[in-house]
Amino acid sequence: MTPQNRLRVSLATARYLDALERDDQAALDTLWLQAANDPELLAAFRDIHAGLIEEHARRNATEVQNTVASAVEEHMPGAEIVRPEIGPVTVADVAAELFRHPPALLPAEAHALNERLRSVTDLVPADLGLDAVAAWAESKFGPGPARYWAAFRQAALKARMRRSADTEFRLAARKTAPTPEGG
Amino acid sequence: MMTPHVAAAVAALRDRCGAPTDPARRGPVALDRNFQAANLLHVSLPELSTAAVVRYLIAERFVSGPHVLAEMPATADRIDGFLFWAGTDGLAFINADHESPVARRRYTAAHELGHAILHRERMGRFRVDVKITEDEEGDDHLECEANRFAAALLMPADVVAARADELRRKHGCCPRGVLAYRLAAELLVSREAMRYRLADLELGDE
Repeated sequence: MTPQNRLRVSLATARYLDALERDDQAALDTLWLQAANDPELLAAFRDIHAGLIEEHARRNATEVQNTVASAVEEHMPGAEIVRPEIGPVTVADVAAELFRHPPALLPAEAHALNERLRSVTDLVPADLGLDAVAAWAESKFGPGPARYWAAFRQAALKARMRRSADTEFRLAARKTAPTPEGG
Repeated sequence: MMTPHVAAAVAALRDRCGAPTDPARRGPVALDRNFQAANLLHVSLPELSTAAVVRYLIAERFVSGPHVLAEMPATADRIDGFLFWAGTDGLAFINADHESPVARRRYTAAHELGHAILHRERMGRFRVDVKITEDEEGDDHLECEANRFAAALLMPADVVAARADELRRKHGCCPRGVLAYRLAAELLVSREAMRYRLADLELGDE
């Protein structure tokens, strides 16, 4: 696309978005007529619609999720709502996982340490070998029971895998999302 | 025959987990340390099947729900091993039914670790191993490589050679069958796997 064509398509798409915003059917019709003889403009309009449809679907899904989550929180106080998590895993995420699902036979000092770590926003290390995790954590947060670091490592791997699996799933779902033409 | 890149991968993993082989030390290879170095967890399940894997991943919250596993098969057919990946981390499932004694489970675990180390880039989010043999022959290149990896990891060449020397010094000969029997017990592998390894390393008298 030449710079002149890019400018022409950009201006037309701006007018199109503006017409969509104002629900100006006459302007939309004019622009569609123009696009009928201009493949580049037609492609740009289709891209706009693909983006709008995706955004609309996401917004609808989020609204439904929020409604269901509010209802569950109100009527099922014992239930845990598993929300899709994004971003890297922090120490607090792992401590929250251990708080919600504590492994059996953790000594009292492990629970106290876990409580302290629930507010730590440091990222967990990339290397989640037990020795590496224990050395890293003890250098940052002080000594803790060996059983706790083993549980921490397991929970960190679990949290990271859950997050990665969710992200990969969303990416795969986006790749296979139908096009506006239904293809 | 051991391919150089498999041997190099095993050596690199040993370095990473800080557990070099030591022929003076008796006993099996500490498999868990090697799993840890690869950010991999291992789980033994009785009656392992893809359906059992799906149930486990959901129940243990390794995934946020069944929707994430929609493309995974979920049948009740028995399988030997299964490898699941998410991001930089993985989970190796090993069949722990009555057909799989400890030695067999260790071999399966090392085999799955081999896939994780050698074939991560070539596999998708999971790999199903319906049947794992303990030799290095077969048509499936990836399976053969994973078996070579398992053999090299569980039966380190220098340990095996040291025991062969020991036997020969003590008794003046080193029958392969006797060596396989002793080493299988020490390294917690099956005698069949040990015999294949000895033949591959050309150790012991036939």
